[in-house]
Amino acid sequence: MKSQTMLLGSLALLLFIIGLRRKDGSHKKGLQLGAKVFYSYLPVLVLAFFLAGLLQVALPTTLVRNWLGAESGWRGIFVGAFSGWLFATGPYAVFPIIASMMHSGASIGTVIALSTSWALLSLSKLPYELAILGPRFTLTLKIVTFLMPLLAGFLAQVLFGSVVII
Amino acid sequence: MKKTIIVMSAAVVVLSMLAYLQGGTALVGAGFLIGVRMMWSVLPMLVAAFALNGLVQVLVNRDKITTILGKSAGVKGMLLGSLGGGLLPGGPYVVYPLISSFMGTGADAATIMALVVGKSLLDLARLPQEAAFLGTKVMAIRYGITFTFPLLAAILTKIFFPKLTEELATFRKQLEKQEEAAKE
Repeated sequence: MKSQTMLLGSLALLLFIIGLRRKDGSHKKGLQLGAKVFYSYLPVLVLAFFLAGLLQVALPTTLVRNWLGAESGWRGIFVGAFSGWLFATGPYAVFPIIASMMHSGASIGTVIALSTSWALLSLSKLPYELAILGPRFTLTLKIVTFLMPLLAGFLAQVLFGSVVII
Repeated sequence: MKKTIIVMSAAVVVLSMLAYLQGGTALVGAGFLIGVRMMWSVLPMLVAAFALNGLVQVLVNRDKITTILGKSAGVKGMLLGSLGGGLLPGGPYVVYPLISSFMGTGADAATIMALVVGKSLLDLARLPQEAAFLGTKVMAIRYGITFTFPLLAAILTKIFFPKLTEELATFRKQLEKQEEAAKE
């Protein structure tokens, strides 16, 4: 956890310095924008963490393991790959939920299938896709990406199934 | 945002009831406590992630990306589209209108597909949040495995939907007409 904070902090510092060298106030604008987004997301974040905590106690670990864990075989990857669209929310709400599933024993294949499925097929983006990119493009997009979450989960399980993720 | 808060609050209530039925107030309390502990432990990381997110949004030049992509086609367009999509900062309501402006300007449908899928899978601004919550290892595995997917989506579009570029140009014209009518 500490090394991740250090990594993100160093990257932020690097971009801050790049912004500073531009001499147009980009560094300040960037931090202000970050703070603004953070405050606007704070209620969602607090709810997301409560949700993640409650999920850990309300969903029996055995149930998660049976359905989404490595012991569930490929069933977990199938469930993950086709349930991401149900999470019609932004990353701040989705990632804590996926994290709590990980802690309850979901396999790497399931986690990757679920996050890929959410990124590609989430219902929250659909109204924008239909209205701005058009129904024809949206349909093509869904057809060409439909099986990608399954492929991602499958590859993750085969290549990284033995990696300790927590 | 309001809708999200309502839906999530409802989910918190439902899960609290589920936990209550299984273990009473003690289990509900335990759930909230896990949430608070989790939040406390990732807070420094979240602060760094949001700072990074804001800086990426300010420092990445949208116009420059637009100019380069508008001129590119073929495999080069697909490759640049994949990477460009990942670099474009902002939510769908910011990025999609920008991508939509490529339609009908000569940009290939495959390039547009690479951009949209690239934005969904390789979003640079989302990377810190993914690392903060799921850990750098899972984040790296996810980005590594899906790195070629935008290109794959573009190739599939090129092969199986060859008429899409023309169809998108027609859609764009209709959209512009509607916008003009709305202005008048």
